[in-house]
This record gives sequence, structure tokens and C-alpha cells, in this order.
Amino acid sequence: MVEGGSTLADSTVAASSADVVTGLYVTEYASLVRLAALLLDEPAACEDVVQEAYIRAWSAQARLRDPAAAHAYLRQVVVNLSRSVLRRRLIAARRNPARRVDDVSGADVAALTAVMRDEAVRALAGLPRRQREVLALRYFAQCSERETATALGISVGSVKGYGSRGIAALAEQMREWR
Amino acid sequence: MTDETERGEDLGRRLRSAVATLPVRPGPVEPLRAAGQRRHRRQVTGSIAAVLLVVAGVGSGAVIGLRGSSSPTTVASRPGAVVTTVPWIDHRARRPAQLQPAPGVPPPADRDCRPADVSLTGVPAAFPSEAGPQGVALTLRATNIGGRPCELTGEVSAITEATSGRRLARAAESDFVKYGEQPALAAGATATTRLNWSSYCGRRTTRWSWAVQIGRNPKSSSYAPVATSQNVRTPPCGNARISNADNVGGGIWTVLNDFGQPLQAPAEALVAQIDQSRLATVTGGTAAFTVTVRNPSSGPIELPRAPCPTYTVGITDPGGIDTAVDGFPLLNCARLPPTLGAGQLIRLRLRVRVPNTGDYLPGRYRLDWGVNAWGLATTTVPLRINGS
Repeated sequence: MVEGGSTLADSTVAASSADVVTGLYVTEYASLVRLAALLLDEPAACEDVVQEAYIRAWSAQARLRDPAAAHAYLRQVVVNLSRSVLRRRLIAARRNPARRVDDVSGADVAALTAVMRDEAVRALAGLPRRQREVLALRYFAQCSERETATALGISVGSVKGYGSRGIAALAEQMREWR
Repeated sequence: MTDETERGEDLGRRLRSAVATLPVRPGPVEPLRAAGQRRHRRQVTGSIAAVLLVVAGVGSGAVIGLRGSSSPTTVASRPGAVVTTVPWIDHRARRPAQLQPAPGVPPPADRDCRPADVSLTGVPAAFPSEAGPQGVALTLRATNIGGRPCELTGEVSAITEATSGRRLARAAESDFVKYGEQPALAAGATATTRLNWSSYCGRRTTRWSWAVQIGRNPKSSSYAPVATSQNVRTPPCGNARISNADNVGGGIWTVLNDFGQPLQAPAEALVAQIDQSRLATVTGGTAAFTVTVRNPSSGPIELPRAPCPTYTVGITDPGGIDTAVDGFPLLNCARLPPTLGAGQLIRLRLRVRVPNTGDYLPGRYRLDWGVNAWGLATTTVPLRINGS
């Protein structure tokens, strides 16, 4: 069970056998957006990423009959797309810094600002990308080490290493952990 | 609190508590599901087309590389083929001054393009070139001559005509009109797309022409004709035995890069392959590799050199979807031949530097390489990055 969602059993019930992904849209959309929020920044970008993940899941529906597999697939695509968004921004900024125009903040940005006030989220955002992804999947999405390794395309040993270093780095920054 | 597990659990609680306040508004599910299913249908159609092309290619002893395919292309040398080796050069393209955006230009999506806004040209070619003509392809270029940014809406259509000029059929890839990319075209900018018309077993025509619908309404005044360098015949009836005209594929606009790379060579006529089966380097190091480009067609192909084409080179991590492109490196145009004869090869010596950043930690990656201006499908090779 993850925050804002329900169990996979629930999602299986919600989804007909013919449309597992639709069931997961109902039950897991919010939790995936929140996972993206820990990897990205703007709420709109997070929602875009999650919507694209669902589009990809529907296009791959024939291979996603198992709800557990579909959920893992969605999580993996969200992580990958979040990376892509960050990478694309870096490339765009490198190519053409003069063209960059700041978006006008939407009303929902205030909510994200409130999120960022939390010391843990702020500290997480300051970690290297891999550590951030491992910690978000392990402790927010409550994936096992193996699930995290699969989602990130790295070994279980690497997950342990990134997780351990990430926790140690957070401990340096978070007063309550000292 | 010292235990790592406890800290992890505490972190999880705090993260969940923090993001619980984030407003999440899931939209209606139907448009997303429909988009996914359309994408699936396109993938299936593309797979069928790929199988047909490969079958046709195997029949004639060649395997043709497909755009977007990660499968390796075979760039076999024929006996007596001339190989021109082009050394690597460390030059990067600069943005032409005339394409710099003027200050205060509004985002270029506030109006649709009108027929008078765009100049359309097309280069027809037969495909696949080695397996016998199974259809015709048209590489389209649309340049915004209207002086104002606008959005390229509307569907790209093929119109077949009888000798009398009477319109026989209009075939289009219409799916993208409502749901696909509708790129904005800055003033002076150019977009390109490619249309494929597969083997056709319907009513023969002696003329055909192409037109592009500019604008959202499919009325006659919204069509702009495409100026082509030559007329092409209706595709011959081939293995696919398609009896209606509605089998035009492609039509997704791609805005050309800011360097205005020309697409003069028949798209996808050239094939390329990275010669090494795998590459290895270290974070911050440089990987050297060679790419062999071959002209599999029966005639010479011009290699556009002015402006000198850039190539794309990227490193993608195992779970990655996107390719990281490091700037716009230029080919060594001073050493490139102006044309590549039938069956001839050029071997490009190339290098790519692995950025010394946290994004390229030791592990297995994929190197992608391609030249958009030559219509080359991206070719890939495994890349291992070791610790520095």
C-alpha cells in the first residue's frame, strides 16, 4: 500500500481483466504523481510525466495483464520520464540559455512550495539523482531492494550502496537525525 | 536515531506526509487510454511494415535499416567498393545569427499557420531501394515565410489525380491531427516530415500530387500544394497488395534544428552502422569509434555539406528513454566527398566524451549516433562506462 493509493488487490478488483491499466489509473495516479514530485519540481511536469506513463502503459497493454507487473512498469516509466525531463532541461539550458523564459507560477505551485518547506523533502532534493531515486522508491514508494533495482536498471548492491550513502548524506543535513 | 532502517522508515513517513498536501487532480481517463491504444496500433502497423521491408530485403540479400529501430543495420561492403575514411574533427555548430530569437517574441503557438504562411517543397524517392520499389516516399519541408510564428496544424495528405486532373483519392495519416504533435514554427524556421505510400493495387493513375492541409478545417482553400522536383508514378502493386489509397504513413512534423540542416538526400537511402560491437571508456573519458555509411541504392547520392551537417551522439542509461546529446558536433565536411556512389562506403572516425557528472556513473549504457540531414536511422552500440 502506498500513500494516496490502495492495495494491488483493490486495484485488481477495480480493474476488469481487460483493462488493468484503467484500474491502476483510478487507484495509483495520485501516488505516482507524488512519487514524481519527489524527483521533479513543478506539479504540472509531474502530472505530465504520469499521464505519459499511463499512455505508454495502455500502448503496451497486451504485455501488462498482471497488475503487479503493470504497477512496476508504471513506476519505472515515471522514474525514467522524470530523469528525461531533468535531462532535457539541462540540455535546453546548455544549448540556449538566452531563450529560457520562466513560466508564470500557477496556483498549485504554492502547494509544492509548502511541500518543499519540509526539511526531509528539501534535503532529498539536494541529493545526487541516483540517491534521490533510490530513497524515493525504497522509502516513499516502499519498494523492495529488488523492485528498486529493477525500476532503476541497476543491481541490488548498487541500490544498497546508493541508499546507504543517501541516508548518510541526509543525516548530515537533518538536525533531527543527528 | 542511528539505525539506517529506522532513518529510512522515518524518511518515508516524512516524505508521505509532505507530499500528501500536494493537490492531485486526475483528469478523465478516456483521452489517455485512447491515446495509448492509438500508439499501440501505430506500433503494430510499424512492426508489420518492418517485417515486410525486412522480408523484401532478405529476398534481395540486404537488410535495410529502419528509422527508430535499435536493431543493427548491415552495412556490407561489395567487392570493389571504394571506402573513403574521414578523420574526426572537434568542431561544433554555432547558432546562425539570423535565427536568434528577437527579444519579446511571443511564444510561437498563438495562431495556426495559414496556407500563405508556408512554402512547401518535396523530394520524392522510391523505397526500399535495394529490394525493388515497393512504394514511394516524399520528404517534405515546410518553411514559415509568413513572418510570424504559427502552429502547423492539419493533416498531411496525398492526392492522386487522373490525367484530366480529376481528384481520385485523398490518402492521409489523419490520426495525429487531433492527438499528435502540432509543432510551432518560428518565423523563418523549417519543419520536415516524411510520407510513405506503400505498394498499391488499386486503380492506376498517371499523375499524383501532394498537398498539405494548413489549418484545422479540411476545406479546399486550406490545402497548399507541394512543389516537387519531379513527378513520381503511383506505387507499383507489390507484396502488400493494398487495394485502397488510404495507406499513406508518416506525416508527423519535425521542426528542423536551429542550424537549418538540409534534407537533400533521399531520406533513409543511406544506411549506417557503428563498426565496433561494443565500446568502453571511463567517466570523463573519451570513446573512439567508427561509423560506416553506405549507399545501397543504384545511383549516386549527394552528401549535403553546406551548411556542414551536424550529427547526434548520445549516451542513454539502461533504464533511460531519452538520449543525452552533448551539443551539435559537426562532421568533417572538408574531408567528405560531395557524393557517395552506388554501393560505395565512407568510414567516419568519431569520438564522444563521457561527461564527468553524476549522470554517467559506472555501468552499462547505449551509444546512439545519427545524421538527421542525411536521413540516417540512428545506429546504436552498447557502451560500458568504467570508474575513472
